[in-house]
Amino acid sequence: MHPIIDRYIDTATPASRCLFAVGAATPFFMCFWAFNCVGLFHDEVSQGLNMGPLWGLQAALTLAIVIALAQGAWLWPRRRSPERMPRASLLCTFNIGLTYLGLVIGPGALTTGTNLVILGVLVIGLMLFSFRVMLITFSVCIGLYVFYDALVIANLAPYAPLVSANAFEGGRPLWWLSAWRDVVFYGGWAAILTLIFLLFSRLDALHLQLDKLSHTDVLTGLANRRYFLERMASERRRQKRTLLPSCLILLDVDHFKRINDRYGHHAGDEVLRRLAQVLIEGLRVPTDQPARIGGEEFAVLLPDTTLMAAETVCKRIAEALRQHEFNMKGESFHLTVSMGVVECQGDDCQAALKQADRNLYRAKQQGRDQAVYSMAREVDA
Amino acid sequence: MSAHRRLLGWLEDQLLNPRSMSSSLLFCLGVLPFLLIFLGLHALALSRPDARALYHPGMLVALQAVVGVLALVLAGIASYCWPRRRDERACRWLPQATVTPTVMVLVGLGIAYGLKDTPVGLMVLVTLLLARALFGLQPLKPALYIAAAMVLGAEAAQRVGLMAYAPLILAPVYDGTPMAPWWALWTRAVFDASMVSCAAVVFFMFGALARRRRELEHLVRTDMLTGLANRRTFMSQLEIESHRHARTKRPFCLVMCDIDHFKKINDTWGHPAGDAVLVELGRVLRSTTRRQIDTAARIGGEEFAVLLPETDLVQAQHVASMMSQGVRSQIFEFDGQQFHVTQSVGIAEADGGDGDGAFRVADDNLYEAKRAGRDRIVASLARQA
Repeated sequence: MHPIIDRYIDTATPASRCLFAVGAATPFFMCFWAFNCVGLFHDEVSQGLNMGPLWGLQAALTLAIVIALAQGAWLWPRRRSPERMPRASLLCTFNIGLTYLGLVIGPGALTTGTNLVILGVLVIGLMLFSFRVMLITFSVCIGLYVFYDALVIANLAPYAPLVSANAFEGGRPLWWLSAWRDVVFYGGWAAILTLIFLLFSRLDALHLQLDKLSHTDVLTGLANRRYFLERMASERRRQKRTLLPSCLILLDVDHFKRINDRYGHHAGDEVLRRLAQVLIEGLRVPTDQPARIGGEEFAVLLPDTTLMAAETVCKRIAEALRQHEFNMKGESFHLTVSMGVVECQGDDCQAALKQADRNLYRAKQQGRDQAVYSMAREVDA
Repeated sequence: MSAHRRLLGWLEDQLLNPRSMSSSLLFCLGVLPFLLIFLGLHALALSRPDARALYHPGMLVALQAVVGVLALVLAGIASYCWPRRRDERACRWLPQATVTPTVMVLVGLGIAYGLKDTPVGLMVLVTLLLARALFGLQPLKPALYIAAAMVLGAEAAQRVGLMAYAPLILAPVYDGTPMAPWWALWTRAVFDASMVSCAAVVFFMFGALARRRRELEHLVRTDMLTGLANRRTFMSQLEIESHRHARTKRPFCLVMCDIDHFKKINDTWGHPAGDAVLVELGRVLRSTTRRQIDTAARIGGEEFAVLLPETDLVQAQHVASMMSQGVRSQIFEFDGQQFHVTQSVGIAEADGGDGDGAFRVADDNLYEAKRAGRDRIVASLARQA
């Protein structure tokens, strides 16, 4: 149930969001409409209610249902249109908001469970509509409520206009009123708790997904440059406490340009993707952090690793790459990489990166397909 | 103003990256006003004979003690958390120790006053909402189960006659006649406090989440260095445009640009120079394309692509020559030396709604331009095979 709702809310068009709201609210309106009918036509019940306000509320409810159905009919053929519909949204939220306001004030806002419903409506509204639309609607409804309550305090309007003293006997509500209260109370709580927890889990999932997207490199699925630098900085902070060494490998594909020129960019992309896979195989998952930090440049962060251990990792990567055969357009070839490796000291990420870059450059100069190792901050001739 | 901005920023960060210590601190500070409202109301009721007469004698004093102890506990937790508020370590027991007793006392208050005809339930709901926002679902579970058991247990006890409904008070809050002055005051205090804090929590939360979502979406869609669209955005835009093309048969063109000898720039002047060149090309592409209509993207290291809807090959060539002109005329200075760069361009006009085909042809044309000596434009129709 709930992944379907998630997908719906994430991909829905404005029109279908309105439709969802109309579809969710109308059944509740109909329930209240039916309750009111009982009040209007059941002799025992109608003695405890004030008929004038009840007829008024029923008329308003009927109008709201008609508006909702009409809007639903208007929206249905437009449900796939990506168009923004600020007016239809406002009509929808105001129709629902004002009707609920009537349903809350009628039986007494302060002393029935219907006041819980306001919150539920607010939360669903914010899931479906924009912040602005909901702020406007909510402000107007609350303003009206405050206005009515001021009238009540000034004795100009009755509190709970629907209910008369005959609905109570000896201070206790009659059976039908207490049944109505039970339905509203338990139904309201069940609906609201479900909604709120659904909503929160959806927001959490969305969050996680976006978070993941924003720190991965689209092509290879490795971490991207920004996330890698963040990771590096936090690793440095940790190192300050633990005093364990960590290493950084910068890795550049040898003669990558030739692949691009010979087989085209699509092939180049494919090679990078496979290279990322090979790279992952050579690492100690999940402690080591690989990333693609530039076109054909990769980096790996090795926490709690000495330069000696890093050498093993580099050899493993180079060996795995030597074993791997790339196939492009019917031709097969092998790739090699040059690596610059440093053992990081202190918390200066930039210095470590710079030193690794210098080592990488030296590896390239010395004929590629090799790794050059050093400590960071070592003066390099 | 800046202090208030900073506070809001901190609250937002708190909500999006919950940490045990500071979340517990916030929860205590959020709930304490509720408890203070009850403490104040009960103290007032004890001092006013007309209000006192509405309550069961003795129970009010006992309740006052319970609420007072909880308030002290929460204040204690808050002062324990305050010096540790920047601590990022997770602490399992603290959220539970904070939430569970609070929810129990508030639900107990609700049962004592009668949950179905007072606004205390609203206050419980606000508390749960706040706890869920700050701690997540897991630490909340015991409190939820206990609360459900308390409510259903009380309901059962009332049904079989073991307990009266709303045992704290002698007469119901509302019985169809105008409320007693005390209840008129009491219900409004509880209702308004819950409503205001609830609306504040809900709106603040949604505002923060919407902002965070926009930020993340921006990050996901754009290239960090140049601020252009990234590969992912470009590809999805290409797909949308291909569909439209298949439907409407209106022409669209793809332009692919690649800086000539980029590797050499990086090697000679270092990566910062290379980055400056890329940023400059991004600026040129932005200024030569139509905002909201065209999509200019960095799709690889030094590779850029532009999608030109409603544009035929001749117009696209014109746009591309403007781009090349813009790139050529920019003079870069590094280490006291000046240099300028050129770019090679491949253009393809899409055919038959095949965006990927156009992409391939534009790429082939770019390759052709490079082979023919760079700094030139090669354009062709993408004929469908």
